[in-house]
Amino acid sequence: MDRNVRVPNESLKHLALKEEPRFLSLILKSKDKFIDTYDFGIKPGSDGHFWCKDANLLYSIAYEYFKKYGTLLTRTGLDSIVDTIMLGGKKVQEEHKTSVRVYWDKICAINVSDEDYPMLKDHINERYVQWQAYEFYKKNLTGIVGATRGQIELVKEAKNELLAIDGLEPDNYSKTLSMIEALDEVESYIAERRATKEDLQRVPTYIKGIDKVFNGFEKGSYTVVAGLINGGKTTLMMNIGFQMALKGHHVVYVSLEKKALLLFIRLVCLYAEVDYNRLKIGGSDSDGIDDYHYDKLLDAVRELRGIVPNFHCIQKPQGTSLSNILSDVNRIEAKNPIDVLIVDYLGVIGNETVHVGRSDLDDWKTSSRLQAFGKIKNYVTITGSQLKTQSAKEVRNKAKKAATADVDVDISPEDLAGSKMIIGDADNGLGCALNYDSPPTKMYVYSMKARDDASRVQIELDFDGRLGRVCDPQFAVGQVTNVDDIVYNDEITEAELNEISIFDSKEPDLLSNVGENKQEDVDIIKKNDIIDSQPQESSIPKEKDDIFGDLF
Amino acid sequence: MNKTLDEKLILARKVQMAKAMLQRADEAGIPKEYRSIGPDKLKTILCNRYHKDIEGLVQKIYTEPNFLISKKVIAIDGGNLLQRKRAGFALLFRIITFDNVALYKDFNETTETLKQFNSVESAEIMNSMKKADHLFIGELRTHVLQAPPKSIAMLWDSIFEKRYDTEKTTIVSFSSPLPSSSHNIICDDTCGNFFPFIYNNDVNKELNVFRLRVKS
Repeated sequence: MDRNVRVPNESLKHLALKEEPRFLSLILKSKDKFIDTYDFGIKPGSDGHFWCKDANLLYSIAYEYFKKYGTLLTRTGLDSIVDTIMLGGKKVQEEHKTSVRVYWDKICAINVSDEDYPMLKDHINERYVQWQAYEFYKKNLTGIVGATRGQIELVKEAKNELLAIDGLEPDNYSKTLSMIEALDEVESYIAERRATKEDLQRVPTYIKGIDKVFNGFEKGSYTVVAGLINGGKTTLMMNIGFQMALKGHHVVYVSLEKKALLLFIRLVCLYAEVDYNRLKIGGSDSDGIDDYHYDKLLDAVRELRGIVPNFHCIQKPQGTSLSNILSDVNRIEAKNPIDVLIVDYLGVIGNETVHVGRSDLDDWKTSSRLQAFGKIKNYVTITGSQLKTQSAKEVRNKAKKAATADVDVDISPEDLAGSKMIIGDADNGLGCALNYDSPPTKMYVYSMKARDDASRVQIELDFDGRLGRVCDPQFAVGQVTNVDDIVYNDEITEAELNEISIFDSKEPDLLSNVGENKQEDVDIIKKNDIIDSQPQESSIPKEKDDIFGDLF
Repeated sequence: MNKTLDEKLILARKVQMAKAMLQRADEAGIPKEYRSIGPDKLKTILCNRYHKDIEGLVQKIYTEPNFLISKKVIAIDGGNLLQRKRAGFALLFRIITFDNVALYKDFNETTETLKQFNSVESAEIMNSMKKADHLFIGELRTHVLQAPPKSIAMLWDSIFEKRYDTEKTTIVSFSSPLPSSSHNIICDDTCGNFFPFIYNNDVNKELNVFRLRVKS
């Protein structure tokens, strides 16, 4: 097909021939504009936006170049890659290699005002939509005209096909709503919310302590998890993502620090409740993967195969540009709609803008793009961010004292490395810190964007670094007396505790009497939905004299 | 008896917490033999000189030890050295099990270190004692503070004053019984800005000083 006659309209053809070179001239000289074009969804290729063959070829090369390197194509760059670059699985034909160089030189000589950019972009998209509609009508009109039965079905299919035209709503997020239009939607929403507690527009984390404060994360929302280096950010995000996937949401986890396979190994260990260190040590000895733990791990793999949690992991090296990352996300989305996108983490994404002396603005730009992407795609987007070095010491000290009622691990936007606008723009901000035990046993999560006293809370969670698990506390503050039967037991030494493996098939003799007589405590712990800072009265037997009867 | 998976998970968490507590006790310097002093043992150690209801007090210490943290000073006297130590460690360990971080220092050893004036070690010890959230100083001998060099008493005084000003809990055991009247054993300008506070504090009010006496 001669691209220039996509639609039999001479005026349109002339307009395309005039406007496409001008548009390319603008975007190939400005990285911001190119990124905007890229994010907008202007496509290369034979089914793409461009009508002119030369314009299409040059744009396709620049597009692939940007995807690969995260930078704008230059004239010298074009010379270097034109022989090797693959477009749609094919190399550039010999006869086109020279013509594309000549075309580049021609369009770069064109002077176009920056003010024309939005208009040119719109026109290119409109012609693209028009062409698709023309193809649609060409294909369907005869069928509709000639149909003698099943016309309604035919028209319904046609309608769906028409509405699915690409670029018809390139940005399905932006809109203007009048009060009268909005009131109808608000009324439906109120009725919907009244009918059921389950809000399909929100995705819970399935960690009750967090969900109690945030009520899950709204689709389209952007959440930043801030913490110290090795402060549990990845573990928290991994746990949240995994729980969401187990409950049926499609989660994509972008890992810029760890390999994808390692993440999945950690998830299997988490699911199997097996210490990951056993895999690190290896072998089949008692400290490695002995028969018991091997069976547990294989059982976990088998069970997960049965459930098939909807969880993808994209593995990228540090410094990968956001465009590169989002391109892979789009590829996954095309096969299976995504609900949750987790990017671990902001600080190691390669910035695509350069503000000299202001790297915080570059970080903010990256975060803004990620936020906008998630909003348009209606994902729950979660990412991590580190704290400033100066703030780290203070946060560590607060975490040390966090167990006392008066001290909160209060992480504020000013503590963030990079721009505090990252949190400023985010919908939710979670500050997290581990306690001072070695190894840590608790994680404190603090809402950094508390809007009212009810959400200005510190959430205490259990943390187990060996399993990679973050979960609701099994013991509320004040129920620590449940550990008395171990701590005050003369016969149990710390060395012996270190050697114990609870999940061994052979129950450790030392602990055979521990916990047996506290069934009511076990029941209370299992039923515990509310995390309370007050001691649970019901965990203490009513008769004072019996309170320590089992211990001593 | 075989446990269900739920029970095993709960037990695993208990073991993890217990290890953390024992680790904190190690870091605090609590000797192993002083860690398992439970309420029954503590009841036999304490005498009712300051508190009539020893049983109620012990129950409160073991179920709500955070009330101890609200006291600036916990003063232990009476009995013998071993009993006082046991009482002090019982309180300190209980505070630790409720997710607090603490420190124990022996008075004699620390005094010897402080005598190395301007040494790095003495500065470090002073800092650690001033900053520790909850500190137990075992067996404070007032006659040592009265003997020369007076600067030692001043150093100790600065530690106690700092802790008092920053509202950190200090457990102190005294070799001599504390008088219930306002009779100052130490009250001169070498040391004593802090100690009269303890001695003069009304035992009945217990606003800031919590007193315990152990049996002989």
